[in-house]
Amino acid sequence: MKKFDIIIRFGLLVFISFLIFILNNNFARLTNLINILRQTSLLFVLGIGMTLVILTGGIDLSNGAVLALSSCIGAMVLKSNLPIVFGVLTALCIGIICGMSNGAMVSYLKIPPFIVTFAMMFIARGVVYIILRGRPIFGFGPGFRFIGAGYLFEIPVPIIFSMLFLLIFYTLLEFTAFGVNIFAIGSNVESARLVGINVKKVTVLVYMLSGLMSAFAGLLYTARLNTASPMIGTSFPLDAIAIVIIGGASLGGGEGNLIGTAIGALTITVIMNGMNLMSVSPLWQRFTVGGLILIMITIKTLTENLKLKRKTLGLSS
Amino acid sequence: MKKTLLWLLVITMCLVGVSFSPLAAAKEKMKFVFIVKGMQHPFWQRMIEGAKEAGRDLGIEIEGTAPVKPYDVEEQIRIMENAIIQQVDGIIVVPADSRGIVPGIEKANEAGILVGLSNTKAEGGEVVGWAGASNFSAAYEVAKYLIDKMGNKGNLIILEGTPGNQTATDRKAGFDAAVSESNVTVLASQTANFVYEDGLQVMENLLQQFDDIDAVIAANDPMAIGAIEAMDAAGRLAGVLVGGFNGDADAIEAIKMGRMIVTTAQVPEAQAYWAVLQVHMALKGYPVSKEIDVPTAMITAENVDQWLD
Repeated sequence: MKKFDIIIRFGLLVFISFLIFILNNNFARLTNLINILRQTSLLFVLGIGMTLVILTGGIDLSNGAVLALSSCIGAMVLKSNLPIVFGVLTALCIGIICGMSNGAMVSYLKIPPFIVTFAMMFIARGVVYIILRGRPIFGFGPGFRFIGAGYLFEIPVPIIFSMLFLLIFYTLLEFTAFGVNIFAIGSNVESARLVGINVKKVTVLVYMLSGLMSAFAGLLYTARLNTASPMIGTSFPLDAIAIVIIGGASLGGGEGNLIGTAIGALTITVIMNGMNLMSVSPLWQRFTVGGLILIMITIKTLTENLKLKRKTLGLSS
Repeated sequence: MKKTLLWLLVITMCLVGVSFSPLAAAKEKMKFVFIVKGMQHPFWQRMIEGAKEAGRDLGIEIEGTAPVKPYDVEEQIRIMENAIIQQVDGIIVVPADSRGIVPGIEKANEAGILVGLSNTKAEGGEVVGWAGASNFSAAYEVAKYLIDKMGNKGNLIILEGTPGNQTATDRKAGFDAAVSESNVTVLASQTANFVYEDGLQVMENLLQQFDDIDAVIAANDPMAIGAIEAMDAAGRLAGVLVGGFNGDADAIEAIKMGRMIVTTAQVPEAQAYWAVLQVHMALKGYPVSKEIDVPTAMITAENVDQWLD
């Protein structure tokens, strides 16, 4: 059933792509396909963290702000003649710290994830505004810019990173005890606790990973834009939630996977790309994305109903 | 005993007198609340600095404030309501939404508190006046400069601001007006929501569609910078003229490096100063000009050096 769901979503992506291709042949140019993959990879890296958090039944509204904070402070270190690795590590550490604080507040203080990460969003954004007073940092060396704008064997580096992350996190989710624990917590926290899963520890780790991925996405954006801005990423929480939902995850937790999120990220990027290529009026662009989310949720509800029907008829596989 | 009581009475009277006098003095000093759109951008902070400067010069206490969630007009109205309860002497607001702010202005009107506007206009309610740069005319000037540099021909791409946003609408109208008087062709006019990341992504997409782009004009500098990075990464920046809006530090640097040719800077301190002055004069009963157009400064290769920090 899970496979069936993914096939439907992938089918719809292919259908939309084909529709755009008929309307505009430039869509299928190799350079555009690579362009789409590169844009998708930035969104997907953000989506990975969000997928993990949503699987546990939580949400992370702070990803854009954590991204801005970590990349701006990382950029300050990068600007100070220290080796590149220091800047990168600083940014990643800030991501981890923010994520850990989110996780700790969710699991130990029992504050709802929505509120914790909502507060973190303001705190992280506030700190970066205070530090930089709203001004961007720009102009980085080629060594750092390679992460976001470079090529390895003719493939843009962000694509390679996102493939690598897909592999790592897919394995983590599907084939390790940690992954099983995440699904268990999302399905039913109480039973997860009863079978002896350390719910608190897993939750903290999940939010920590989300912070880490936000920080990493921040580095990709900073390197690609050649600019670290405190204003970056205000739309990222909703963008990431959108791709996770389009990918078939349930906001209630316990259901979803990274292949779906990847398809979700591709679908949104393809649609935005198509609308730009065809110069669709900006006023229609939001409407289209909203409509897409609605369609995808409808598909989910329909397949679930079908599943339920088959079960009640005793045809369950 | 009587003498002691008398002395006590005298001392008490003195204390009461002393403690009331600063209150009385404070009541004479006027207080204005100055509400900007958000605290996150240096532009709004500069505006509050300008208002405070006017306050110091005129002897008015200025409380500079903004919604916690930037561009939230609902919260601006709440701030206005609080100011009305405090019975301040004047409220100056930079509406996050020209229509949305109207109920707040009307409430202040009912309470008899003067309202001034700075930077952005409102579409209703009684206001003392407005002091700001016309986004329309500034955008028109920038586009005209860019079109002149294009030799009044060629292919132009417009990057718009957030759909529905008043500033975005005005700047787009300014660009359109300049384009309509020229022979340039607009290949596409797409939104990049005023942010770097969308400027980059939308331009990457447009580069796939159009092989022959002569110029790009963006409704703010972050989108222009995003577009420049997209073109640079594709090896197609050479020969493309880019225009922006704001006068941000990175755009000024880009003009210095020849990657961009023009941007325009508003002078927020001056806009705020004028707005405070307008309300102040209205309170004194002087006639006040309804609209004060504060000029913007065009930044180009010729004068960029004076803008570098």
